[in-house]
Amino acid sequence: MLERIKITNFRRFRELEVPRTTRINVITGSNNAGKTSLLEAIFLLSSGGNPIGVNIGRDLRGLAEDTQKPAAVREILWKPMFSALDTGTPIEIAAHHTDSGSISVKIALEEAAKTWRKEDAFADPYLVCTFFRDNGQIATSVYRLTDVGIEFMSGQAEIPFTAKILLPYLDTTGSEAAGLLGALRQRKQGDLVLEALRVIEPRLRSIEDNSVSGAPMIWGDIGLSELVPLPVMGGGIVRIASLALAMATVAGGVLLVDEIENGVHHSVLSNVWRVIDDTSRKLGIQVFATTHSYECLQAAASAIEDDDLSIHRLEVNEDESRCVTLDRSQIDGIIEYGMEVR
Amino acid sequence: MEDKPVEINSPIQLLVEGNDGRNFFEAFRRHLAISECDMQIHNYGGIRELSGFLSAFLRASGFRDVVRIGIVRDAEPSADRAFQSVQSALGNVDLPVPARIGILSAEGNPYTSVLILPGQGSGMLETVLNQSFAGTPVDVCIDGFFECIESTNGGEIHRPDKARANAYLSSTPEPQVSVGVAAKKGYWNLDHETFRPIRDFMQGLCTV
Repeated sequence: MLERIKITNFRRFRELEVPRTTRINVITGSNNAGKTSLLEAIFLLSSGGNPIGVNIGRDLRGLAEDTQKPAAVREILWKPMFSALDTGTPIEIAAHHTDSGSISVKIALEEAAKTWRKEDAFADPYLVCTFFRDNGQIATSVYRLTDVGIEFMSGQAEIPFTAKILLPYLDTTGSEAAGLLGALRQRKQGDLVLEALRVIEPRLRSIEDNSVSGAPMIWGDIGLSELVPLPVMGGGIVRIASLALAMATVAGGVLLVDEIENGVHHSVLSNVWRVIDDTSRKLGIQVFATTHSYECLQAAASAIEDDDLSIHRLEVNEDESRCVTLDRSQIDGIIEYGMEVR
Repeated sequence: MEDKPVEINSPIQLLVEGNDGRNFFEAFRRHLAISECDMQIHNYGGIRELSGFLSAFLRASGFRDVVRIGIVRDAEPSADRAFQSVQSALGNVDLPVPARIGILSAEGNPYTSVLILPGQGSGMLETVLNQSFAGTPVDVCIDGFFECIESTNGGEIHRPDKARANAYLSSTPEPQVSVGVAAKKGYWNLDHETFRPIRDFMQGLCTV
């Protein structure tokens, strides 16, 4: 489990500390306080500086189409990672992980003159990501820009912990979802997803992955004469399927969910949190989820009965960020007295 | 429809005991006409709930901009013990602790101040309210009413301060309202000298 997260010079954060965490962590704050950036930072740390982490900004910010050319990568993807565009100061994301110890990733934008291969003479800077464990340098990944995009030049794979990030507008559907379900069913864990889906569709008797339509997809039996494709059952079903599939694939790791209440009716929010609570406990998953919704916070507090729930409110004051963390008793008090906490 | 969560969006926060307390102090603030004083008033519940309330209150959004907190509590059996209880609750959440009743704490961020009702000794908000009509013809009638009850077989006036206040309200156009709502409806003489300590306390919170 991640504890004591510290972020320096990344996006909104000149410096931010999240001094304590629990198994389930709900992140709130006003617009532009950095909720999504906190998720991104944790994902970057989980990747150890490897490509999947460095490129997550594209998906998180909906920039995949806009960052194909080198100049776009540099100006839209890389430079804005640095707080106030201060590319002269490295980004550092550090945490204590209960299994991996003290881990950190340092990301720097280095001038092309300091090349990694003497024969290279590119004008664009290099993105250099260094992963540390217990203050010792473990691995370095280097990225340079080419005419066709980002080249991962060198580096060793070092994944300190597994993590999966769920975006608010990009749920898992179609062949990816079918593939994930197929893998779970092979391990006899398919019921995990079915039980989650039954929270908002009690008619659901079973689910299966098949390609009868020519494309792999998850289909559900809701008592009709034929199976129904999951995506046509509604956005809420797709969202919960994405959550359940993500959790099933990140056992022992970290699940990051942006705008967790998206597509979920308020009347089933508590049930959704119960599923997250039960599954994360069974599979040893730590959850960080952002929300704008007070109902979602109330639902989490009512569904999760033990102390394994925190709320972290990100605040910005004159460009200084801070994290205000509420423990269980403070969460109960805030909700009992009807106080604003977002 | 559920109420929206309450935002902390004023630099001065007044925490009072119960809904009656909140209604009364809202009415009193309006009476003082201190509209330029940006103050929010919250009900922290009963006296045993103050610690839990403060712990959550500190974490509510907007708290970082609070500069002064006033806390009002009934003395009940003892004003001194009530004050010590509030001091303890403040200390438990690492808020500045005032040294004396009605005086701002020496340290700020935010400053705190405590008012115990009715002042010295024992009592509550109703004790103060009752002083505002003491000696009036209605008060004399209430004395007679209480004597009548006590003269009956087994008759006893329980919680005499609350009983007297409610008996007074029976003489108003809306006898069914609570003491706090009665304040909003103008049924108490808020200009009476008995309310001076409350006036001084609230103005003290508002004065820069």
